Amino acid sequence: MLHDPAQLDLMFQALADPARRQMVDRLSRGPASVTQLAEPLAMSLSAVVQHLNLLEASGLVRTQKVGRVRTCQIEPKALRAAEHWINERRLSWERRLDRLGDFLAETKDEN
Amino acid sequence: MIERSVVHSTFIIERLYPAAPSKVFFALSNADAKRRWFTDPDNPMPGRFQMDFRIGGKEVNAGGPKDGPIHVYTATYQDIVPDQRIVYSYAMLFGETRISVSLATIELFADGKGTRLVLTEQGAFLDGHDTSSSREHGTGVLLDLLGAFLNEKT
Amino acid sequence: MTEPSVTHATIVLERIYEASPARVFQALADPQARARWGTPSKNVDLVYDKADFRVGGLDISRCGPRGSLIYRVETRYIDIEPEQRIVSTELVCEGWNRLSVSLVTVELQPVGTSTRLVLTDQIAAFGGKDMIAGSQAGFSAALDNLAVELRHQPVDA
Repeated sequence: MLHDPAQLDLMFQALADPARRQMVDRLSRGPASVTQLAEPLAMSLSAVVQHLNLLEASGLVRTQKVGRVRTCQIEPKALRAAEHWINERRLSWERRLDRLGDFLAETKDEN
Repeated sequence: MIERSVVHSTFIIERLYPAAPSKVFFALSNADAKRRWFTDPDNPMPGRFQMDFRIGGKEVNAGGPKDGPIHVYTATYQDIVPDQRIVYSYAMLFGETRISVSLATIELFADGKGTRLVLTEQGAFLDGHDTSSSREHGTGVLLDLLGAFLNEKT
Repeated sequence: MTEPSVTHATIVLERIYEASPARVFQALADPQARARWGTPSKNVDLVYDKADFRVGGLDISRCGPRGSLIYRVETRYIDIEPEQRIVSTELVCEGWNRLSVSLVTVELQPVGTSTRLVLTDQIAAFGGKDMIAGSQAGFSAALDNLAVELRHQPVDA
C-alpha cells in the first residue's frame, strides 16, 4: 500500500489540512455518512465532498454509496494490528533514546 | 481454539551521543540512572521497576494508563559486554495476555569523543492483539502511517 | 582493530509431518525425544543437564561431537500454547564464549491429518555470519530427523 511515493505524497497532503485531520479523527472512531462528517465543520457540503475525495484518492478513507447515502470509513489496511505494534515499539524506543540523550547531557559533568 | 498467528519483524535505530561509551553504558546498566530516562514521563503510573543487571538477570517494568490494563515488560539479560554490548529478551504482557516477545541488541561504538548507539529489535507479535488505546484517536492513524513509512525506508 | 559487531538474521524453515499436531508437539516438548532427533547427525550427541518445559522454564543442554560436547545451550521458554506454538530464547556458548542468542518461534498448524511446522529463528550472532549458517544447517537437519522420529514412534494409545 505504501510502496508508491506518489501515493505517499497524496497521503501526507491529505493529512496536511486541519479539516481533513478532523474527518480522519472522526472516522477512526467508526464509519460515518458524509452529512455526519460535515456537521462539525464550518464549510459547505461541496467543500466537504472535495476534502473527502482527496482522502479517498490518498487511500486513507474508503467510501461506499448505498442508495442515496454515501458512507465513509477508514481504510482497514491502514490499521493492521501488527504494523501498529511494530510502530509502537519503534516510537517507544525513539522517545526513550531521546530521553537518554537528555539524561547524558544533564549528567555530563557528574562522575 | 483461538486462531494463532505470529508476525516477525526487525527494526534498527541509531543514535549519536556526545558522551563516552562508558557513560552511555552506565546509563543503560545502572538502575538509578536507567529509571531517569527509560520510563515515560507521560505515563501517569510509572509502577514497578526492578533491574538485576547481569547475564541471566531479570528486569521488570510495569505501568500503564490509569484506566487501562497493566502493561508488564519482563526481560532477561542474555549477553553483556561492558561498554560494548547488551542483548536481552523481553515479553510484553497486557493484563494476562502475552502480546509479544522480542530480542533487543544494543551496541555501542566509540565515535570520536562520542558514542554511536545501534539498537536492533527482533520481535514476534502474537495473535494479532490490539495493543493500543491510541487507535481510537486520529493521531493513532497518523503515527501508524508515519511508522509504516519509516519501515519502508529502512 | 575491528570493532566487535553483531550480525542479525531471520531464518525461516518449514516442514510438513505426517502426524497430528499433538504428536509433533509431544516430540518437541519431551527432552528424551529431543535428545534423539535434536542433533544434526548421529555423530553429534545432545545431553540435557536440566529440562523444564513450561512457561518460565529453563533447559540446559550440551552438544557436540561424541566425547566432546563443547557447545552449551540455554533455552528459556517464554510462550507455550499446547499443540500450537512454542516461543523460546536460545543462548549458545562455547566454553566462556557466548556465540549467539536466538528468539525461536515454532508454529504448528493442522493440514488435513498432517501438521505444518514453521520454525522462525531470529538470531543475533556475535563473531560473524558462520554462526548464522551453522544455526540454519543445525535446525534444518534436526527438523529432518524429527520426520524420522515421528515415523518410528508408536502412535499414541
